[in-house]
Amino acid sequence: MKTADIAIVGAGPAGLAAAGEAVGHGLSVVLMDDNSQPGGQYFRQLPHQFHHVDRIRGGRAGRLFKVIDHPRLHYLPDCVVWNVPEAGVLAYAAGADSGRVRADAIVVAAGATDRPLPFPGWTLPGVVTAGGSQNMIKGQGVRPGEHVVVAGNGPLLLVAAMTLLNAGATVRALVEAAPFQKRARSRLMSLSRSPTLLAQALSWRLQLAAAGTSFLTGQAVIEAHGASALEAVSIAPIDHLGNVDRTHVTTLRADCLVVGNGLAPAVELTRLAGCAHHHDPLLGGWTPRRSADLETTVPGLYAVGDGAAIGGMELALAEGRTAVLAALLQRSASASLRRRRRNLARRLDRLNRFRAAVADIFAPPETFLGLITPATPVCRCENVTLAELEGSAAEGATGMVQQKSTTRLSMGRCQGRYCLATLADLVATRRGIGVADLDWPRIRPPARPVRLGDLLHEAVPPPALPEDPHLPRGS
Amino acid sequence: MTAGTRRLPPGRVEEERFTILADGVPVPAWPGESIAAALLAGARSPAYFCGMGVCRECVVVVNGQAGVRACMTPAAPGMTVDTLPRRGSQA
Ligand code: FES
Repeated sequence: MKTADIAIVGAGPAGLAAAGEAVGHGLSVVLMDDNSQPGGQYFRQLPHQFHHVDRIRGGRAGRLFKVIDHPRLHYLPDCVVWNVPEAGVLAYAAGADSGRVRADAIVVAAGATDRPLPFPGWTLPGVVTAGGSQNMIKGQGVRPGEHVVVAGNGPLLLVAAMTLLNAGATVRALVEAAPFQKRARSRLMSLSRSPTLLAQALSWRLQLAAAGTSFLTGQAVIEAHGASALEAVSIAPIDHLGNVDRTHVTTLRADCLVVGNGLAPAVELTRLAGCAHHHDPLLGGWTPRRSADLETTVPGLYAVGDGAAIGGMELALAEGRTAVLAALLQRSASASLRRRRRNLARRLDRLNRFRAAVADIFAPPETFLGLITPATPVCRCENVTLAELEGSAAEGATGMVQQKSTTRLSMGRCQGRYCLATLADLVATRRGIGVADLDWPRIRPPARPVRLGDLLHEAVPPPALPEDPHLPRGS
Repeated sequence: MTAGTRRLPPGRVEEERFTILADGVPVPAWPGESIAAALLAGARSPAYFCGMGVCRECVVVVNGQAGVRACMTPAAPGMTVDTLPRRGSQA
């Protein structure tokens, strides 16, 4: 078993910031990450084998990355943390190096996943998530398509569209479900508190418009068409209640549709650890309850960045640092630590207000369930359609767990990441209750699929066998 | 041949190009490229959705080993990649 002062899950902005803060104060760190290079999704880099590529050296990314080489930091790339077997211990799979880490404090900075929502045709090849499009371009230098429609809800769509444009793709349309233009004018005030980000968003919009992108707001993709891969996309108006106006349909030819409805925090580990969670759509759905120190309800376990509550890169950096300072302050309360902690608290405050303003502007329609037709697969992996779910509900399977066990929804390879939220919406609407009050399926280890062979490398003592009175001792 | 229209200019040098065999068809790839990137740039319409190892829709059989995530696994010279039928298309 490895030991460290702090174990950090995730080498994205939040995890790297936490690691930097920790080694800066003399702590030893184990940093585990599912990717082969640090940076997470935000600072994703091209493969190291590529030539003439500008490595991230300067700037804040370069400063963040320096911690990887620090002598007090043990970096485990290509590493899946799959369980919290006991307080202060993480189990991880990393090929022959698999094992466990024990630490005084654990910082979970596990990042987020896209929250795509079902509509007819969303399983066609050529339909990719916003994160998938970003990674194909930023991490592989490959355009996911030539004629692209970007659709969904939230500020990441503009980022995805701009990355595609810079990569040489034609972005035919950016389809935003929120009636953004109407709202943005009245709320420019709250956004002007962050003039740099606002100016950047406006400049990207102008560049896209100049390149021929249409901006369709208050609209949604109602169908993706194609025989064996995407060929065209149909778009229709959607109002704030989620009603779809199918009498005004626009159809665009496209070989790639990038979809995104915001992000959801990856809360598997905090759930496995037994932390209390609450449901807040503005923070991405289920989110761990955290103190001002960002400590969860499990002492010594901190959750930071988009992996706890969606807030973006700046907030992630500040949260990663705050958690480590909080852990340090529990050991020694030096004046300089306290001062740094106060400065960070002010920064967190300001960033949280900005997050609220952005969430307000992009507030989505009340529901997207109107986009799902009976034949639409709600669960991509097990191909469970809306009609099957309604059939099972009509036969009495009215709860989430019953719907799951009768249809196999969420029992496939993504483990429910892309369907459980939709199932919850369906069941909650049917029964007229809130999604937080439903019987969400329990989470069990492994948090993410791991190879059995990896676990065999774990140097863990075999479990003590119960004593059998019929066997002679020592046999 | 060039790096192909979907590949962006920096990083790849012609001499390092190799091929993988995707469902029996030779597809070019470069060191560091993921299997998914090579398939996509090779116009093979691969299953690719999240691009970050989470959805597992991109899983392929590599040299006989099942359950390999194409988006997270680098291509290697001579690699045999078998894609799986998409669930959605079986119904
Ligand atoms: S595309 Fe989702 S795991 Fe590879």
